[in-house]
Amino acid sequence: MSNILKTTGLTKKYKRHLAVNGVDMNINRGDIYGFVGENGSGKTTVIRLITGLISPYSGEFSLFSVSNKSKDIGKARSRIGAIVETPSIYLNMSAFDNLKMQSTLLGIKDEGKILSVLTDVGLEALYKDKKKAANFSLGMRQRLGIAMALMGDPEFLILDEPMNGLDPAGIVDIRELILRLNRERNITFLISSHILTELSLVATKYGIISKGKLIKEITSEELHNECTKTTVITSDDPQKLTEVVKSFLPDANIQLVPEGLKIIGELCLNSVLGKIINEGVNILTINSSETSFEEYYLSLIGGAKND
Amino acid sequence: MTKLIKADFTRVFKDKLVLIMAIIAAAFSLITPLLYVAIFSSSESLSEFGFENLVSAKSQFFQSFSIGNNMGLIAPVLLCIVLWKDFSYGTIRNKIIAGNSRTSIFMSLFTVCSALTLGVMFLHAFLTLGISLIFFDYQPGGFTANDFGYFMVSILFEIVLMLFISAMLTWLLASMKNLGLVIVLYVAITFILVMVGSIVVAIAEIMSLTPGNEQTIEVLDIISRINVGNSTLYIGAGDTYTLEDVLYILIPPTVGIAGFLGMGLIQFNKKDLK
Repeated sequence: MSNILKTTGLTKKYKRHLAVNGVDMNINRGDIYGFVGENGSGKTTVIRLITGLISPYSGEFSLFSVSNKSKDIGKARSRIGAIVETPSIYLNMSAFDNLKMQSTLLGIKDEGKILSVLTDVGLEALYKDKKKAANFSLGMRQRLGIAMALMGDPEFLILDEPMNGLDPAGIVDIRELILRLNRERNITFLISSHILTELSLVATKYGIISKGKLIKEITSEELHNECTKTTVITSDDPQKLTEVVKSFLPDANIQLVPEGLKIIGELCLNSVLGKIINEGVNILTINSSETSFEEYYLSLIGGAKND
Repeated sequence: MTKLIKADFTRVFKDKLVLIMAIIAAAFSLITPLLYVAIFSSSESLSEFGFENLVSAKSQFFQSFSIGNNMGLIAPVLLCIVLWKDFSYGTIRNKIIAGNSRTSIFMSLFTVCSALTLGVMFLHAFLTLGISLIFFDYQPGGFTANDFGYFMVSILFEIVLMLFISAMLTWLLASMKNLGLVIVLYVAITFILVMVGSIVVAIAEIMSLTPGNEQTIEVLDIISRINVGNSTLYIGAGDTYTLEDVLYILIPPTVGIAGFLGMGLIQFNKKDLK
């Protein structure tokens, strides 16, 4: 799997304030990377560093294996599309004129591309509309911003809080668009958000940032394991307990950890316990727990989930 | 960079402020000669005050380029508002993400700024010339074949002066954090240049009344001649240029252009963009 973005010790300092502190992140082709963090955690600063809007204080990154210190970083950057904070659109122009501007900038001569990207974001009705972007709703501006980012057929799309200002139907549309573009065009995404439940519906990998530090990178599968129901059973004979459970739950995710036998996922506890007892295994304790994504996130950033 | 310049021109010409700027330029071109006609309606009053040269079409034309005059102030301020939109709308991000270097973006901004400044100022100046010619002679001695060469050279000098203004504007746009500051600084720098110019000329004239001040007057004359704010005193005000005139007229704005572009490029390459 080829690497799209790799940052190494990426740091941004404003006077004495470390906005981004030694971030190491990896995004591979095809990933939908959910970039999670509270307000002011450094998500947008990392995005601004990657897109070249600001320069790093130290550390480096590579886009499509081209270092940010290389002369060719501009070429690599032309393979991405991005919305940083707010959609970058001319408010005194119509949707068509904005996209025409973008096509001029990118050297695209085919006007059919404008209709194509407007259709992608569900704004095809604006193709001939002279209404200025200043009169658009926040959601329409957001969609137009995505259309602008799509004009250059990007391989990597960076969306900073793309769901901001969208109504529920708009959120569903954007989510479906992200999934479709990822599936059909293999576009890699970096999506920053603090709406965890929304991200969990699209992301295949997560980067959790807090106070400028990337505290965890985790795949959606790993996150699923962390967040689904877990049952820990302790016995005076852990080996036998493991063999017994494996015999009647061959497909279950079972791990023998120091605390006992950890069974990840939903299970019918009464039936499992009955079978274990029938096999003559002595059970000492049973502990069941379930963690939500929010709880997991809060535990990582040091927030007390039970506060 | 061609794509960048083309995109910049496209968006600038979509802006209604550019049309408004052209209308204001045309209005001033009409009003200024008419005001002169109203004030100096009889040729007797002209000669009485020694104003024959001042109210000639030639002087009206070349004064139109003055950086301290109406359009010299209004055009750059309106231009700032038009060009700043790339920063306020955040659309400058599109240019960077499209793979353009900051140097290209800066030079494209300078190109567009120069083209618009030249366009508006020449529109204003030639309209003023046309309207002035209805009421006044080109100059007291009329327009001769020899005047054509002088006129063309003067136009070239005015172009260098306009490029100086554009370079200053581009530097301010690329390095400041808000539009208000850009406008205030531009107006302040212009006023200082024009005021210093007037004060120096006035002091030199007063000192010339007393003998023994020749050296000081010479220094003041140099200060006056290298001051871009005083350009109207030297460009298009006579009928020939000496080599010394050419150097005094060309060197200060050329140094200014290089300085503003150099500073602008350094600052813009380091600037944090939102």
